[in-house]
Amino acid sequence: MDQSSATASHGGAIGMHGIKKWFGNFQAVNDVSLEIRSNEFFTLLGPSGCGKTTLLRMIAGFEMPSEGSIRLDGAEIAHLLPNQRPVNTVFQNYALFPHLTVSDNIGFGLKMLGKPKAEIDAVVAEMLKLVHLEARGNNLVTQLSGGQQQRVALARALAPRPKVLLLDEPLSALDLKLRKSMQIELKRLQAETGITFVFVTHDQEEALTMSDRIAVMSQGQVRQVGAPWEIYDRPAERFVADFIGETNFLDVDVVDVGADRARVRLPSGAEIPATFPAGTQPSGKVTIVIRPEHARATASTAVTPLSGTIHDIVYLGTDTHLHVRLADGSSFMIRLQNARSGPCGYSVGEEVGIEISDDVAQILRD
Amino acid sequence: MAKRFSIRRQPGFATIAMFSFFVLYLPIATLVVYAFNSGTSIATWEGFSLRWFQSAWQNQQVIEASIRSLQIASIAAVIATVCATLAALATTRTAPYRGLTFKYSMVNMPLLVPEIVTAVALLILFSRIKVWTGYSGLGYLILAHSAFCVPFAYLPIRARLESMDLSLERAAADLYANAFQTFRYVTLPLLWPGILAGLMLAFVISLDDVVITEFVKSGGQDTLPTYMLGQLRRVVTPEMNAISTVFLMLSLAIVTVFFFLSRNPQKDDK
Ligand SMILES: Nc1ncnc2c1ncn2[C@@H]1O[C@H](COP(=O)(O)OP(=O)(O)OP(=O)(O)O)[C@@H](O)[C@H]1O
Ligand SMILES: [Mg+2]
Repeated sequence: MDQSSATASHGGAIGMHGIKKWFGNFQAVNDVSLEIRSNEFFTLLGPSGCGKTTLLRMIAGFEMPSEGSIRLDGAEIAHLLPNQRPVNTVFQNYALFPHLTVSDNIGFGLKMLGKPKAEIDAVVAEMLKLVHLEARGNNLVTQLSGGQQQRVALARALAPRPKVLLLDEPLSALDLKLRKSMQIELKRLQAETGITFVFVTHDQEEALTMSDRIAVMSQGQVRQVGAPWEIYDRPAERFVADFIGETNFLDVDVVDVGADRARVRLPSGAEIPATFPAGTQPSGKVTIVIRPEHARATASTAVTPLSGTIHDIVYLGTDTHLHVRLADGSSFMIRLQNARSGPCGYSVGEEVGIEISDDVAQILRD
Repeated sequence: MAKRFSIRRQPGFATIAMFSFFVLYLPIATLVVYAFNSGTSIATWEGFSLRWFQSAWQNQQVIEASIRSLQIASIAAVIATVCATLAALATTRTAPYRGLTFKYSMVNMPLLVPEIVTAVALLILFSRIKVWTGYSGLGYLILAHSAFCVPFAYLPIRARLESMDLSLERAAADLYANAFQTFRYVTLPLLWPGILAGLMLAFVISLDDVVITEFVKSGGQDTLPTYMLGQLRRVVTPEMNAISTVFLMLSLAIVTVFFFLSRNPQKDDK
């Protein structure tokens, strides 16, 4: 690999405890506590207005938390000005300086830190190479395309070697193809530089593909923190399950609770094992989630835990969705992968049994 | 596809436009033409000559008044622009608070107060100060001009600041710039065209002022406009036209310089 890995710094760890933020009477962030680990690609995911940007701005120093503490590698930083924090931001609209060239934009942070010109030039050259803009150093940033501006914004924020890089929906202005390639690029940069990335998005797919860990937010609160598979397969509550991907909700009864698995009784009377969020003790009536791809349709209805009548078939190219009406009237979705070409072999009105893979049901916190 | 509405395609547009230009520029054109009259009349053409330019150039009073005008205008414009820049920064780079609108109106108030009122007020104030201090130099005129030029300089600067993306200053702070560095390396370069516009506007306004100058000036402190006003009460010769023409050229030159200075550098390369 090139020089950048040789100069790689250690990413900072951020600890937030009891963060609250009020704007007048409106509470934008409600008691958030998060531990972001060193060198981690950490994503804040949530719908519009849930407080992601506000949280990021408090880490950057543009907003003061109304309550709570923010620590960087153990030291309190909540009271520091933005220019006193070893934290840089890639802004959603890039906020590149229009009166400066690409090189001067990238070198801005180092210049403000009073670094000698030779060092600045060396870092700028390295950064230009890192983001594949070697030939554009002397252009004004306004002469670049959107994707190129995005990369300059990234290089500018990385050049001073911050301990933490904050990215506020940096890809949202790009078209799909560029977006995909920038996602890979970002992952590569994070790995090469070893800087902790805190990434904000409201795109669940982007969050799942890029992150080491994800915090799902809603209405100013963190609902769940975990690795992408945990967020997807083991959602702790209805909001998380609903926000990430498509899913089936079933109302069931808990019959037995073990150390990390419970047995639940489906409306059909069949019993299946289900996982539950750590720290909860499920009992009585609960809701479980089963992802559509974790269920299969079978012709025989005799031994399957669920059965019903197909009332809709949606063909999606890679997949086919079967919507099955269960005995209690609710709808259950099954995702079939179209492994072969041609029609899926099912028809509307057909009775089918539903098989559920082992260990895929998750009990939600209520 | 239906043609979109365009004022240019309405009947009579060209005629009205031509007429308007004619009405606007005819008096000025006449003035310029008669500056080159060889006779002593400003209404009867007697042939081409530069004699009135020569006579104006040799007129000691005209020279002195011109120098005085330029002196006052340049100093006053700089003072007014500095004040206006500070005022614009203070009124835009802050979270809105009670009383901000009031301050904003206070800065612009001089635009609404009739000039004659300001003139009389300054006359009274300055005559007091003259009695106390005994000083009667150009300082009063410079001070007066600076004061009434502030709102003119303020407007373009404020407009520029308001259209400026706040996240640029935030980005500078994020990249370790302290408040002064942020101003020096980001705000000021981007604000520059606005400041220049304010400066030029203040300069032209000061150069042009008659009413306040007439009231505030002491004996022997004529500026070019007040000198011309004085002359018009006596004999009117094409010398006035010649002076006006030079004045006009100066203003045009300033506007041209300003146009080139304020052109967006980003657009030049396209
Ligand atoms: N300066 C402010 N003054 C008042 N309310 C604010 C301010 N900044 C944010 N808010 C409010 O706080 C809430 C959270 O805003 P925030 O920008 O953090 O949302 P977000 O999660 O980033 O949303 P998006 O995905 O749309 O960017 C919103 O309801 C917003 O209206
Ligand atoms: Mg946001």
